[in-house]
Amino acid sequence: MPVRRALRVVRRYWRVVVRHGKHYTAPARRAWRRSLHLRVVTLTLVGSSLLVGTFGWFIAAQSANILLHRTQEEISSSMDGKVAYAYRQLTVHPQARDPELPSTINDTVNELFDGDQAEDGGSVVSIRAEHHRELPAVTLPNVDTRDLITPDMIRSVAEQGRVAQQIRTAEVEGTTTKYLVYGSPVPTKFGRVELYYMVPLTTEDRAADQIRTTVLVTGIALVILLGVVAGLVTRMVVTPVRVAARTAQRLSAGLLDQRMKVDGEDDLALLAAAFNQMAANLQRQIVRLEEMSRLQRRFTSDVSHELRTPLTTVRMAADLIFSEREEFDPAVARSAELLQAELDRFEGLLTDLLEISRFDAGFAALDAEHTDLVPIVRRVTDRLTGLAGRAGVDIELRLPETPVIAEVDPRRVERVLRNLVGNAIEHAEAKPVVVTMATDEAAVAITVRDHGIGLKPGEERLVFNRFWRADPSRARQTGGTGLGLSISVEDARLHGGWLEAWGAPGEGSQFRLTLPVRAGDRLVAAPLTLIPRDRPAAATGEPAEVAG
Amino acid sequence: MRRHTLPVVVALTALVLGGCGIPDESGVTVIGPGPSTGITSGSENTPDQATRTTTSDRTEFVDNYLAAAAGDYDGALDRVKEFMSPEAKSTFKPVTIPRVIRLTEKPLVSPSQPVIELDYELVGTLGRNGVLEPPKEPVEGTYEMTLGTAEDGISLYVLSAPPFLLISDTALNANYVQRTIYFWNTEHSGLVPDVRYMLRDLPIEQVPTTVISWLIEGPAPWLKSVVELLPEGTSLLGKVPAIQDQTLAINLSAQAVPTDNAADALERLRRQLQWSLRPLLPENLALKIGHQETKNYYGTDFFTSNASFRLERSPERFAVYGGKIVRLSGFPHAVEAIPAIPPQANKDIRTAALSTSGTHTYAALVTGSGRGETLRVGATPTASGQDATLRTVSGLPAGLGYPVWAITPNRTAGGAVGLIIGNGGLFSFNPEGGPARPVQVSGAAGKLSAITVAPDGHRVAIVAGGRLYRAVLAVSSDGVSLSEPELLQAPLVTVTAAAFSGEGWLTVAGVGVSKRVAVLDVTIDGALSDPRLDDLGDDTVNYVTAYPANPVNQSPSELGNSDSVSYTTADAAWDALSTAVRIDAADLAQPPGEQPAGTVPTAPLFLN
Repeated sequence: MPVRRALRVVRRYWRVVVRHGKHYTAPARRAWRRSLHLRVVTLTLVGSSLLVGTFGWFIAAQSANILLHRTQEEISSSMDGKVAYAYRQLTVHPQARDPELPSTINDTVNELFDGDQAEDGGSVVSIRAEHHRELPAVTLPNVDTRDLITPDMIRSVAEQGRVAQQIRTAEVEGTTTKYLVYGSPVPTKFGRVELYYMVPLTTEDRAADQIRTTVLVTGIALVILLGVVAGLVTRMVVTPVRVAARTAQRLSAGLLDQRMKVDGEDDLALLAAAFNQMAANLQRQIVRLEEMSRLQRRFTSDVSHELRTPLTTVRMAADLIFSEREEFDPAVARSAELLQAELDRFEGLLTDLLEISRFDAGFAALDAEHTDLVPIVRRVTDRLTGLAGRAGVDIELRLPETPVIAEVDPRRVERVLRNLVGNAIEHAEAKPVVVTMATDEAAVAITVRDHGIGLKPGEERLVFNRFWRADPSRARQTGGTGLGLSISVEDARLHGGWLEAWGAPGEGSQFRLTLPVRAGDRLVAAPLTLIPRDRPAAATGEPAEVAG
Repeated sequence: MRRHTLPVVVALTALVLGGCGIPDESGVTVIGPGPSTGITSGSENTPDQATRTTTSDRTEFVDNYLAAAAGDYDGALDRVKEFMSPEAKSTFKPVTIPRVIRLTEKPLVSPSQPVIELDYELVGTLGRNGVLEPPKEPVEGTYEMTLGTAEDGISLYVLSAPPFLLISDTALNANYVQRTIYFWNTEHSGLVPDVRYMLRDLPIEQVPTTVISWLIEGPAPWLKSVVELLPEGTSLLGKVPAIQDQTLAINLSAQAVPTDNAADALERLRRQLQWSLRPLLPENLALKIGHQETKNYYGTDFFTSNASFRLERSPERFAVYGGKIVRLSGFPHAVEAIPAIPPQANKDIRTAALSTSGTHTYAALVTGSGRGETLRVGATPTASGQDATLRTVSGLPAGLGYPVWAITPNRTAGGAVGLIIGNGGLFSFNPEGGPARPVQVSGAAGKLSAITVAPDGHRVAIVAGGRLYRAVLAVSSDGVSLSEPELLQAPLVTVTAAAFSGEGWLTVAGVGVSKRVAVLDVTIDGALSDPRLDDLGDDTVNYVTAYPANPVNQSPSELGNSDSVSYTTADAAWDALSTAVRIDAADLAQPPGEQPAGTVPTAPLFLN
């Protein structure tokens, strides 16, 4: 079947077209998803096209119908007259073999022929005698009517004796013309002949075309106009919404003094006013909170500073007493020692508070330089060897052979590590502490692993809170201030690094410090896993990350 | 879903583009039943015209051959050729117009003699428009035709024939009927009949169309000078449809009625049409001129336009008896006085003519004898009942014949014209008397012996030198003039008297082929004849008078010639009934006193 093959080819091309279309319309579809404006305008265009198209089609079809109907009525009445005339003329011949009959038919056709030949083809009149083959068909103007008078028509008129009409398009005298063909039997005394009257529908066709064109042009103009109107109206609505969106974006970016313009008293103005009020309220609240926070930090800082001077005096007095403790009785000497020890702690606490308040105030600055991290780790562990010994903890180092050079602030890194290892020793419960270091192109990671009591679920984050304590009843052995991990997190963040904790009850815990090799680089991955590889299988506990 | 998009799009586009507007093609829509079929008036039988194979009898074959040209004018040649052998067909190149001949002798036919001699006299030529035109010169002669037997051994062929389409007078009579059409005379005072020959088997539906086409083509040539043609450009639009609902609808072109005096012209036209179509005219004539409103004409008021209409079924008859005009008994008004003639003048009369128009009665009397012959004429309004004042017409030679009133106008007696033959010449007179005017008769050889004028006042038949002529009388400011007479080939050797017997007929008297005196009717063209009195021995008829038949009273089976014919021989007056019946004194209504013995009524006359 060639039709099916052709269909298949067409379908294939259609699919190709669809695929290409998909590719090329991707931006359009994106625009469709993003633009309310575009959607409204497009939907308006489509909807109005459908409506206008339907109405236009209806009007054009109806107009053509009316035109055709009127012509048909005209021709019908004209046809009645013609048939009556032909009937009267042919009454003269009682016999079909009358030699005068062809001339009468000829004269009759001649008389019936309107004669007003318009330039686009005039009407054609034909008399035929289907039942009297000896009578020639007479047609005026003498054109070939085979295309105009169809066998169906002849059957209806000549055989069934009906008045019938048909529209035919045929080439007559070199021009293709649309004809309304009317046929009627003409009774005569010798039987029946058929009269055909063919009227060109050129004028009606042209009128119908003009109506169609007018409707089409009007419809298109209407649709375009509707699209423009829809665009304008939508823009009136969308523009303030967009402004509101932009303002909200700016607000969320911290530009709290951004406000919308309020125009008029309509719904959009109401929205803008409400939005502005919300923004003002938010700003006031935020500013108040900031102020409170600032006051708090300032208070801490001020208290720390204010305490420093009396502490220095007390320290000097206590140092004097401590150095003279040999001369006192043992109870006093013991008090002097206690005083000394608490003063050390107090001083440490004060230092840490100052450090924290520096972070809070944003004064902390990174003093980055290329540093080999291996010596730093060794130094820290060496310094804590005493403590470890007292706690009965072995510190195992797993360091690379080669120097690990990174752009870091060595003082801060050392402080972090000291904190981590100290904490590990403190919570190791006489089990070994493993310090591991690894590096790759972009990052250096140092993990500190202990096998102590571990962390309960959720504590991975809490450990970095200020003054947090896993078991508030437990006494501090190492004289920690409760600020160590908080400061460490701030230090790691200052480097653009991470400090994370993992722990599980009874499995101990692991802390991981990850730092970029080059200061300011963004970390993507760490060379060491947070969850230690040696942990018992199927242990629960999710890693917690504290992003830097 | 995607795979269905394409057909949907295609269908939608087609619907949108093709849905509105006028479609290029549509099916056949039946609107209703056609008009009902008409009923045929004719029968399906074919015309019974004889063909070559109809007979193998040579006499009949010749008769059939002489009838072959009669019929459809255009098919005449084919029908004649059909009688011929193939060789004869190819060489037969006749004159297209058929000749009507009268065989003067029965052709001698014998199987042993292939050549047949046809002794004939030419009656005339029969034109397409039904006009039978007599020849300019009398033609007599012999045609020779050769017959042969066809291959089948039975049927006959014409092997050679005279190069004419011949119609014998009997074939003319058998195949044609006389049909009178009418034209207005130039004075518009009355219609002049024009007799034509119409095919007998012409369907009745086509008669009106044919008649109108004849009217449009114009009158017969001999009438042209006295009748008015239809206006130039007159034509019949379409055919005249068959009569429907007692209405005959005729549509003529706008030129049929001239713009000036349109109402009168239309009135004349419709009367002309009504008269011409009269025998088949239904109640209503619907006449439409161009695109004007159709005018309907009912009734018979048109009859008055033809003078023949005034003719009575039974005429008032008179005769001269003992020098007085007396009425014949048994005819209308038989006991009344003699119209228009004062009783004191009713004496010494030899011949007379009485005529009436619608308003006047005219009298013409020839009194005295020898050198004392006088013509006295007068006219009086009919309604007054007074007698006319008779005046003498001067300037007439001796040897006066019978006077006739040719033109008798209505309303006024002036303009009336009478004719009288004096010493073989023709003279005209008018009712006021005064000098007679000679009327020139050119082209007729011999002395005039009879003149008769048709009721229309224009057609005239004269007898001169024993021959019958016809002519038309034209009235002009300086009296009347006679057109050049046309010789009619009446079936008589010598014609002695003639009188109009009907619109298309003349009653003539003369000596026939058999040397016997006969009175018979001939058509106005001399072609057909109707015998009245075949054999009157050798008693010469010197005068014939007839009261023409009224065409309105005529039944279709009648020929249209007169019932009332009288003639005179040297010693008596006769009525031509089925035999000759002498008019005796006993036939007179009021015979005047004692008359010498042997006095017989003479000079019979009718009140025309």
